This record gives sequence, structure tokens and C-alpha cells, in this order.
Amino acid sequence: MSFISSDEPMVNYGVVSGIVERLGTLSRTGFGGWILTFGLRNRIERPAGEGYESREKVSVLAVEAWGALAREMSELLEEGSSVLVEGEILSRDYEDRTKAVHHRMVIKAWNIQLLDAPA
Amino acid sequence: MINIRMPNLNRVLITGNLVDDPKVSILESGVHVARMRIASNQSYKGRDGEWHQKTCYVDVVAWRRTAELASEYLRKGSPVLVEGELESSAWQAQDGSQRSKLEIVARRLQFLERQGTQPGTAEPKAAPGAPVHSDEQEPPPEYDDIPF
Repeated sequence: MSFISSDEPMVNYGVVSGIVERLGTLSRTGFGGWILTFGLRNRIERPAGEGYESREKVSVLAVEAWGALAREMSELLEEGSSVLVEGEILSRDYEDRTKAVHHRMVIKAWNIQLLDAPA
Repeated sequence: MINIRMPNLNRVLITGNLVDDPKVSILESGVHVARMRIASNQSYKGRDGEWHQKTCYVDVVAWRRTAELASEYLRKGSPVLVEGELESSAWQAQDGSQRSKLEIVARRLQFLERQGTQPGTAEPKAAPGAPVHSDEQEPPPEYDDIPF
């Protein structure tokens, strides 16, 4: 548990639903904690507007679960599971083989709710 | 048994400061597009008992009237609240490798700068703290229209 403080108003919150894909295996971070990663296939239905027909946009969002949540979800999640993810956005910079720096965003999950009906 | 469809949810709220001035382009259709990167700082107390700060850099794209207002009132360093949707796009790089990008499509921007804190800059016509615009009902154009 960490405590957050700031002198300025600070918000970083997201809630996204979707289908689990590219489910990783539970692994240890460099600091010894647990981490589970997966992709979340999200489908947005954009409403029709003036001069626009309604359409769908599919995005695949990278999600990380840490600690106890990662351990719990490694037992419950499967490829194709429907989930609701609540969390914050984190950014990561990394170098490719050519040493070019790339920027990527991930969702660090605070809470994951399974939406599939129990069998 | 009632067969209920999975809810489609995608909503993000984040505050931060612009890393640079908004980059604005106008499509052939006349639609304005503003691209921004914001830095969102967060202080937290770690397991070591010390206070740390982490900075999250987030790419934001705004369309139409929201883009126009962003280009008019936001500058490098401006604090802003972004409300929008996370959206990914994928493409093939020149070396043949697959690349993907995640960004926030802004539906609503709220300027957080207090009046008079930056002398010499244009004051927003909207009241400080008020939402400057909502594009809720207008979907962005198809990606084929985007020249980048």
C-alpha cells in the first residue's frame, strides 16, 4: 500500500471493459513482486452524428496487474474472459534493437471484475 | 435465463501539464486535429518510507472544436484535465516491424490554470475550471483521413 500526496489536483483513473487476449504467465518483477500482463480487446461503439454513421473501433490495451491481484487473476483469467478493468495509466520508455527510444502506455489495474457468467 | 450483453466501457480521466505546445493540423475536410503530450506527476510513499515521484507521459488527440480551443488556450506547461477514451492503433514501420500506439481521444478538456497565473497569456473565455467543450456526440473521422 502506498500513500499518495500532491499540492495540485491530481487525477489518473480509467475504467475499461473487454476480452482478455495474449494472457501472460505470472512472473516476478525485479523487486520480487508478482506481475501478470495481458491485452484487453475493447470495442467502442461510436454513435451516429451529423454527417456520420455509427461505427465500431476496436483497440487492444496493455494491462498489468501487480501483487496479490496478479496472483488472484492468474488463477481466474483465461484467454477470452470478459473483464472490467479499473486502474491508472502508466507510461514506459524502452529502446529497440536500433537504440531508438519508444514510448508506450499501459493500464495498471487496481481492480479486475470478471463479467463472464459462472458456469 | 436472461442473456445480457457485456457492457462497452472505455473512460479515462487524467490531469497533467502539457509537455509542449499542441500540434494542430487541419484535414482536407476542414476538421481540426490537435495532438498533445501531457506529463502527469504523482507523489507516493514507497515501502522504504521515502517519498518518490513518478511521471506518466500520455499522448492525447483532440478533434474539431475541442482541438481548436486546445490550440487557442493551451500552451507548454498548461495544466489540464483530460476526459476521454483510450484508443490503440497499429501500423508497420519502414523496417517491416509491427508498431502500435495507445493514446487518449479527448472528449472533454478542462483548463486548470488559475486566472492571472501566467501574465501575458490569453485568458480563456470560459470560466476557470469550467469544461471548455464536449465532443461527446461527434465521432472522430475515419483514420484514412489522417495525414500522419
